[in-house]
Amino acid sequence: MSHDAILEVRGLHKSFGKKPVLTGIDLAVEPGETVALLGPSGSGKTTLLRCLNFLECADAGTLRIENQSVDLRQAHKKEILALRRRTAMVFQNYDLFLNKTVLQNVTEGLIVARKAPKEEAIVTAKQVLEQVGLADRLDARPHELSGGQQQRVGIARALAINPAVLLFDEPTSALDPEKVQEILDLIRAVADTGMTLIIVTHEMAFAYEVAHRVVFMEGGEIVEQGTPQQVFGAPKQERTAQFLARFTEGKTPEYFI
Amino acid sequence: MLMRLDWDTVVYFFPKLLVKLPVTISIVLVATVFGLLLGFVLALAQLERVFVLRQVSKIAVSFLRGTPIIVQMFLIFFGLPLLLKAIGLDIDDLDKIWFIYLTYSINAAAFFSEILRSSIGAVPRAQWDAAEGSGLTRAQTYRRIVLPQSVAVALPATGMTITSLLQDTSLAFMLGIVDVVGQVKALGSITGRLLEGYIVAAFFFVLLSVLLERIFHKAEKKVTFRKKAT
Repeated sequence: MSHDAILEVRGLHKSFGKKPVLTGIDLAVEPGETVALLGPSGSGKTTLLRCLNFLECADAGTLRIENQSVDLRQAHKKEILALRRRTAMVFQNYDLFLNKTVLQNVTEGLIVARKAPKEEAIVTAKQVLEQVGLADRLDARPHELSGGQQQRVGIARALAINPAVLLFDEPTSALDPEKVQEILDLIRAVADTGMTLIIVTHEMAFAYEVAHRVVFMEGGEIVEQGTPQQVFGAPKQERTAQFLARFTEGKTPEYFI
Repeated sequence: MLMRLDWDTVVYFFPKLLVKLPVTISIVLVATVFGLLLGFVLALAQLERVFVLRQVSKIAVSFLRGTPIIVQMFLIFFGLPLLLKAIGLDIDDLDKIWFIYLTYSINAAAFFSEILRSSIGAVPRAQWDAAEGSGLTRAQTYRRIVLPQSVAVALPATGMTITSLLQDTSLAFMLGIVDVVGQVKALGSITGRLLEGYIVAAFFFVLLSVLLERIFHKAEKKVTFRKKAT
């Protein structure tokens, strides 16, 4: 057990009805670390991420974020809310508030959930929107924006609350190939600021280049984890090698020195 | 004996019915306001799966939607005083209009609750996730994200419900309420002329319906924040 981890999960279990989705997940994330969750569809990556944000309620396990920990089996509403406010989520389909402008989307969590003074929230929001390159679309509505722009707002909305851990749920899966790179570059820039990131992704090259650690999941458990060089270059498990084969084979050898 | 339609009587009736318009409108207004409030509570009880209240809400809604308003009116008019007497409350001196207000409010509540339930359900699950993931409480999520979005969905059906509520007020005369229709009956028994009264009444009902339609059409345009599906 590491005590300097900013987020730590122990023995997390989750079933949907009778179907077990996560069977005993242990994961610790260091401050400033970027962790990529990889694995086939249905392996439980997204569910794990959603459990960390309490969008799904886990059946068992413990979760600690910074200095607050909770037994997931009997978490109280207040604890859930407090823990939830230490994280922020970026969604696959952006999921911006449809009835709010770009600026309001970003200030909402600050003003309403965190009771920040309105002027202060607006300053912060403008700052992060500038950071994601949307300073000129403050009054636009989500439906007036392209997918890439919407995801920029999604990232700004998450950045604004300065979370202990930033969670990304397949942030580029709904984008066209051109926009994918744009958003990935943005996420890389965020990672470079020293923020702690957990990213569920199918972008192998991105995981390889940006993540400090790669976690490979299948069948509701963590099969293997390590640095990208270890996991991509010399996977210990058969299944990992199999899953990554298509990616690793196509790569130029210089990746694997 | 066939009577000729007498236009002078129509003109004569017009102001006499006009002064009763406020009674008709007051029933619609009271039922709309309290119907929406109670309807929201009924809808919430079901949406949030509140213990016991959820079943009570379901049963109440299907009873209110499954019986004619006139039956509900007489059940309340004759039944409520008995019920209250049993606990020592005497409401014999209460004006009849209050029974009408009550009947129409709970009747409207049943319809509004169904509208609200379905329009809240129409807001994508992802909007809840995004709001709660941003740290909003459930109440804040309702107030700031979900309800504003469901208003756009709920408006057309709400407008229709209020319009049929308006038409339903024409049954209130059966308790002896002198609204527009009650006045037609009263004038009819004095002058022997009913058709003229109903012509004027029809005019007022059409006028109010068209007005309601206009208001809701304008409101719909205002609250639509999404691109219209074409």
